[in-house]
Amino acid sequence: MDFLRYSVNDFVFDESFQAFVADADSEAGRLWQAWLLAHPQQQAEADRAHAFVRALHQARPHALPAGLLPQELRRLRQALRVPAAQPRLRSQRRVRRLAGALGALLLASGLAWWQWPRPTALAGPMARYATGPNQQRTLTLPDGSVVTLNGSSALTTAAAWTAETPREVWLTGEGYFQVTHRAARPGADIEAAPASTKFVVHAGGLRVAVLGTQFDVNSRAGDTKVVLASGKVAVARQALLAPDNLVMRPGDLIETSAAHPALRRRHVEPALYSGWTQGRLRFRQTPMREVVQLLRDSYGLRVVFADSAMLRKTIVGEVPTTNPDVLLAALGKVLNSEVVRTGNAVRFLPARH
Amino acid sequence: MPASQDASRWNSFLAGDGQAFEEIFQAHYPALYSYGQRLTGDGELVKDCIQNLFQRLWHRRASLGPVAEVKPYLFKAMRHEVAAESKARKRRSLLQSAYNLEFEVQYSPEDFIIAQQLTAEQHARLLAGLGQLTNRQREAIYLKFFDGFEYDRISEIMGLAQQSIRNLVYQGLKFLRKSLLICLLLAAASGRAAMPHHCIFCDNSQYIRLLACL
Repeated sequence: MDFLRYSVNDFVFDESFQAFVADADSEAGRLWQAWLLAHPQQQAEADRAHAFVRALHQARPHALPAGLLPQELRRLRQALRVPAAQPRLRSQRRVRRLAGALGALLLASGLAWWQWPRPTALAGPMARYATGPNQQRTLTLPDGSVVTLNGSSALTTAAAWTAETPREVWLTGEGYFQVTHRAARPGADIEAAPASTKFVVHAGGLRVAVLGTQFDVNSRAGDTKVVLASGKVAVARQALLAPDNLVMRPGDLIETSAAHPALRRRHVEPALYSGWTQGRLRFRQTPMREVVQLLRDSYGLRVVFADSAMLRKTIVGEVPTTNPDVLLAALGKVLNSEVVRTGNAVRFLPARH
Repeated sequence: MPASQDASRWNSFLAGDGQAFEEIFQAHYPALYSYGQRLTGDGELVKDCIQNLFQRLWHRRASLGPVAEVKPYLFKAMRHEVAAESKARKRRSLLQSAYNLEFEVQYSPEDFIIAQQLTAEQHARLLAGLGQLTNRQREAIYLKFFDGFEYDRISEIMGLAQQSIRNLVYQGLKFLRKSLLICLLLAAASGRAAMPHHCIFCDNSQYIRLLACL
């Protein structure tokens, strides 16, 4: 193309020239500036073309009426709080069909609310690590943090990490995180810390943010728990309407479920919740009450005692974690009790002699 | 807005983060409102369309995938929403039985900031020229120059092949250039205005060529 013979029109129609007008710092912009410096005889034509294209750029957006944006944001919130909000019906005949569809929508959105991101929902090059049933896997992340995945779990994260962006991972199943510090001053306030120093785990509608510590996240079947061994963790539940958040202290277990979405906190023995990473649970004068909690939290077992005195006993010993039945049998022996398991229900009965 | 920030917000939204969703709404509301206004000129309709669009996005987030860029995605969805909604309203009003999916993209004088290098007269000519473009040409030019989309994005938004968009923009620009020249000629011929000292819209050579043609 002979730019020397370009008329104003030719410049106007030239896409690279258009790109130059749009952004003088673009590659096309730099090329054109250099070319025009070298060919001043075309400067006048180019100036006219530039002014013309520039004029097309200078539209003023339709100004938003004052207060419209906050008003419309409130309207959106309102509509999403009550998904059954009045649809704008086109005719009475459609009412029934719409009602049915709305019911389905309500149900679907209710379900979707608690569904945590499938890894396909992530853009950009991602890395996904997964384990099969009864399989464990230990990963070292790009920042040196170590994650141990329990069986049937998956961790997704960006394939490449940079020092500027927050460290973010998405978890389904169970993982034990040992996060390295990026902050200059460990123990700083998590919320106030720069985003780049945070490590964030997304699991089951929770956003778990830490600067550097060790904790267990277990997210299965709509039920998500976080157990903190040491340090500090900020947990936020992501909900459009009533988001809540709290800061965990060592020994805290935070729980949310589809049935009870609000965050609940209780105190547990954190070592029991990371026991699976070593393949064994160590009981050191552990109250039976806590063991019962563990059975429910980690294995989904509901335990009933025939004799409440058993609950007050403490346990000492070590059992493998891979098979809950082995653990139950060991407990039965220690408590001198007969253990009957039916599905997820476990009963400790007085031993028959 | 940085595209990367947009993309990470989008991912958080897909994951159920209501705050990220609200941020997307707030960040893109002005551009969507402006686009909707140009498509329909009906502020109430535009507001309803943006509401419907975002409510649907929220409810369907479980089935949505990642998007390369958020803004063109929202523009495309907005265009679809506006088309469906105006179709429905027209049907209801019974004023018009047939519906034409072409939008009447409108420009008004206050759409333009009077640039320092434009005189009021040049400004008026440009507007008059824009008013005579076809709707599609106007929309393509609007998306290209006003919203700064690349051709591939405009092609997604308008649902036309990239080459068609290129042609629309080319023909639109050509028409604008030509109509400005003719305006100028008519003005000169009627003796109302002499040729400006530095007319930015026409180059003298073309002016003379056109004069010779007459």
